[in-house]
Amino acid sequence: MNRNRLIAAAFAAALMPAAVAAQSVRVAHIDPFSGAFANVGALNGMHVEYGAALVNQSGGVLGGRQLEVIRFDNNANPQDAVVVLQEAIDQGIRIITQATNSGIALAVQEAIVRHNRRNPDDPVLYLNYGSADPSLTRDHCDYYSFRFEVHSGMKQLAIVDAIAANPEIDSVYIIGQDYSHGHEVSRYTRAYLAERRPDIEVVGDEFHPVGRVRDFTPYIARIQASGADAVITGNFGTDLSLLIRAANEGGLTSTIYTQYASTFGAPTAIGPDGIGRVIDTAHWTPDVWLTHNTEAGRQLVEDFERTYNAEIGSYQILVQMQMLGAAINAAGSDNPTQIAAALSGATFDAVTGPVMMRESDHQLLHPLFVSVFTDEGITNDSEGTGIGWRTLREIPASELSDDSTCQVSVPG
Amino acid sequence: MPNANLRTLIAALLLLVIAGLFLAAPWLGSRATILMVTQAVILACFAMAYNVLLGQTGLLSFGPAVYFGIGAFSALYAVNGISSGQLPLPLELVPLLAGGAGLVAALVFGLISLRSGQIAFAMITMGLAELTHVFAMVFPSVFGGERGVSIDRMVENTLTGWGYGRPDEIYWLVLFWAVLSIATLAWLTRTPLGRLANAVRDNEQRVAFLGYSPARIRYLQFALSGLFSGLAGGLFALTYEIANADIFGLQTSAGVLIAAYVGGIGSVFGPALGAIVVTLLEFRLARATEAWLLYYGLIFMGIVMFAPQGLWGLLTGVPTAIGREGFAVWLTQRLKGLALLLPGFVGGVLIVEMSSHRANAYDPHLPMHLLGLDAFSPLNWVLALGLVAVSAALLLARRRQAGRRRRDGLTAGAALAGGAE
Amino acid sequence: MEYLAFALVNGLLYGMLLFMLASGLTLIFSMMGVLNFAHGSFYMLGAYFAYQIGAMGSFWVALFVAPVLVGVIGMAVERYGLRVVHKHGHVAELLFTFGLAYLIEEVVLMVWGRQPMPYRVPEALNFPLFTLGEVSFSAYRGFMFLIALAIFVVLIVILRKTRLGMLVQAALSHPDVLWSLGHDVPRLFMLVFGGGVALAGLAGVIGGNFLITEPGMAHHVGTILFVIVVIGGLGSLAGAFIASVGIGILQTLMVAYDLRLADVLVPGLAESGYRGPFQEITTMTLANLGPVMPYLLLVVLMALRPRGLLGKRDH
Repeated sequence: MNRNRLIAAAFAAALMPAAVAAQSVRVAHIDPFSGAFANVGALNGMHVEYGAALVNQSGGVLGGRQLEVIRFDNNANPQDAVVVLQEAIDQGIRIITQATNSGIALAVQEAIVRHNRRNPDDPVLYLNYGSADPSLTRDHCDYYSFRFEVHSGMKQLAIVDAIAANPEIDSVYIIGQDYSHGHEVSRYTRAYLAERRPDIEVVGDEFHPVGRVRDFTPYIARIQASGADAVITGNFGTDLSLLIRAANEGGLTSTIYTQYASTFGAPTAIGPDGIGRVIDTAHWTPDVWLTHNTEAGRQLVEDFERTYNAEIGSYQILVQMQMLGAAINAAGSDNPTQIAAALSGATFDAVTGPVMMRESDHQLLHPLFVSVFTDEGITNDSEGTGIGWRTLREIPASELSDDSTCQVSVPG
Repeated sequence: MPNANLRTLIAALLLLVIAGLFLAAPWLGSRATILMVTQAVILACFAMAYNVLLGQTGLLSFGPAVYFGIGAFSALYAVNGISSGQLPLPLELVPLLAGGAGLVAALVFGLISLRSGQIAFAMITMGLAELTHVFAMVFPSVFGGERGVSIDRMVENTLTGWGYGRPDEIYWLVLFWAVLSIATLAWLTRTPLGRLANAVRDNEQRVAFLGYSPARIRYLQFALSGLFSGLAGGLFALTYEIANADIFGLQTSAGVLIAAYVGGIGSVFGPALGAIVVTLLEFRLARATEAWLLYYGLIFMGIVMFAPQGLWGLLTGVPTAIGREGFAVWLTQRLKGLALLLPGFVGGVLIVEMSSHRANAYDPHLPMHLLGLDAFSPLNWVLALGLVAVSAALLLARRRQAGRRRRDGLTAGAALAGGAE
Repeated sequence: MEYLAFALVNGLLYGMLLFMLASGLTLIFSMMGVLNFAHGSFYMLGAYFAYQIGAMGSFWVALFVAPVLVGVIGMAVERYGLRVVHKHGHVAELLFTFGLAYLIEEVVLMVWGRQPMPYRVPEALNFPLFTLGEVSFSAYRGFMFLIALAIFVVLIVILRKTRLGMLVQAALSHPDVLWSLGHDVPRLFMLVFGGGVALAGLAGVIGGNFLITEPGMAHHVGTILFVIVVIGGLGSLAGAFIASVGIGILQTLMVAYDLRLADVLVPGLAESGYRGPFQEITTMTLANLGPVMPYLLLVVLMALRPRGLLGKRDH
């Protein structure tokens, strides 16, 4: 499109906002776009927009209508998130997506569930692509809420799966943040280990306050003393990077199994200290698509890189937008109740393998990949560090599907 | 004293306009606006409660979040108790209970906090705030962990018979309690206790000489602050129907401190005004620019440096200034000042916006929202820096001029004095 | 016994890092009465500058240049900011630094972005120096220890033996006399503030690669520094030193003990299988609470002895 036509189009859009609004199906993307977490919001924003563009390029929805993403800044604060959610609803938007920070995600989900209860004729659809708190789909599943991120219990299942397959591991040490997530990781690890490798001994199960430990050396000393073959942690952010650095300095040789070592910023923060010692589980790393090595996968990765000069990080967002587009078309309507019906139980061919939206609790089942942090045998590195993730195991979505404990109730 | 009368008049007008706006809010805005105004009202109440310590008694606390959070959680549990029928209390009185919880907490923590001077007090409140935050995080069985504790405020037992499902219904409830609290707090400043607190702030020894116990007065003020902070926390819980351990975090305390100071801690209603302005900034400025936090910080710094009396002091100070200088002179002075600062302001905004665009935009090479500028064009940068330089040079020149005039004045004065001898 | 040796060594090493951060703060606090809330932000600036200089030159250049840059910024802040606010009192000064911390973080985000920086320990010092029990300590830790020790010694010498030091000491006990003697106290303040934050910058150069250089780093060290300065006592460098090392050792020791709180508080509670509000108390150990211990210590000490460990007068 040349510049003049772009300007003309912009003018046309400015002149008839109502007409455009009637044509496009709007999605409100609520995330932090300013302040300390602005980069995370911006990165998520790229994925949401790119996902919408994928839908629009392949013909849009409902016979040529566009998916339009409208951004709302939640100032990284749950109260402001609830206010802008109300604003989106006031503007007539009935599809909401967001995720950064579980606390905010949970507050928004709670607000949407209440809105739907109080306005049963005018429901709102909630698509969550980032909050990994298991309770979201285990105890609090809801007909209008869909989670496209695998929850921490499923990730832990994949980790235990990898540990169980390694006969050299006889003992593990669990260390985590003293908050819901750390406790969930500990609980799931013990449960799955008891099931798959009861011979493995849990020689330590420890919690430390979130974000308050600067010196992890005393913890490393304890792990050393326990003689654990593997360390399991649900830590993220600095709590994760500092733990790995201290392990490296202290001369700890056990492998560290993580859930968040491949997320935005972590590879840079961990750096060479993590080479060969960190094993992470995730649904996406820069090399993951090579396990299925399809032309679609190659195109997706290259085109995203070309468009935004950034790596794909949260592939589930692209899956979410594409599944949303398909569900709108399948429902033949942009009515949230009908979209929800179409999304429930829907399947999709992702570049990482088939995925499925579980009907009972609206949790997406997505293949998981266990990979080692290394600078050898990789094709794409992470964040320009020269170090990347070599895939060790693939856990197909079908193997993650046995933990549903919740049943959504269909309205009406 | 016509000036003092005028000042009171301005203050009264200001209050009237604000009150009018708040009464009309449900008819003026969408549901989101009502929610935003509700947030402003809650923060106003909280900031007024906070100022009982900071402005009235001269005690800088880093832990107001403790009492706000305790109020919020007790309100959440109270509402759950009401909806399960265990607690025979109408929903409208929940904030009172939350205030009671804040009061009890303040009575206990006050015993520890108020042992000694200002800085020690600030540090103890900081330590207590950190401890409370961690405490709330490690007891998910009470504080709900990351998910927090949530409620449904639509209960059977109400005084008004309202359902409280709609934002405007809860707004009226919040407004009622907030106005009542703010009025009470304003009245308290005129009671002997309020006057004595001011005296403790200004000169502790004199109060002690008069036979009063400064420690006792501080303790009472601390308790009052806890009471109304807890009440504000209760209003928060009723509005958002959810809270988690993060409510005890430093962010909550920092927010109320900034609001109170921006509004003006030296005046009775300043903090409430500050709360309203800060909330508006949070939503409106954030809509206009992604670098809004930087502007927010700059506004705060500007007030700390050049207008410690806050926005309220600035606004109510206008008639005094006009009375002193005459309207024409006052206006020219203000316009002159504006003209001096305008180039710097424009240049500064350009620099911030271009930097933020380069740091945060998807593709920094795209033209910016702001006037469609190119953030990489050297011309734009030179222009922006030039504008800032113009203002800086003008200000410097004026300062020099003022300095020379003062010196001249001094010598003239000395000569005069010499002549009179 | 072996663990005790480890705790002492590790506590000392970690405590020295804390001391490096706290020394500048205590200097500023004792001299000017300002609790510099932006101290952690200057530490952050030091780390980012060092990363940037290191990316262009080398770590050893950064070691000297970055603290100087931070110090110059500090002096400018004092001259054009803090001095203006000074007449409004200590609370206004504190709030000024509070706003400054906010501003510096925003500027860092704007220039360097949210992601952590790949600022690494220099290769020359990245090897195990000695092993205690099963834990090894790198040469870089030894280097950090030496720098911190040097800071302590140099500061003590400056304060006790030089004219500047005498003036600082005098200003501490008799600020008004210093004024009336015609000393340029504002200039002294500017130097002290610049010097104090330059120390924070130096801590950033040395700690930024050992820990992690990211926008949250200022916030992460922020409050613990106040704890050290206040526990140590107003105007006492030695107090800050003792508090730093003490906290380092205490935190290391606490992690070692698997003592369950429930066993201490109510015997038998842990075994009762209690479920309900505050049920976490049954499983909580002393190690869980190590990192919050300093705050508890602060509150208890302030309530009992407001002047701190070695403070000469009340705050």
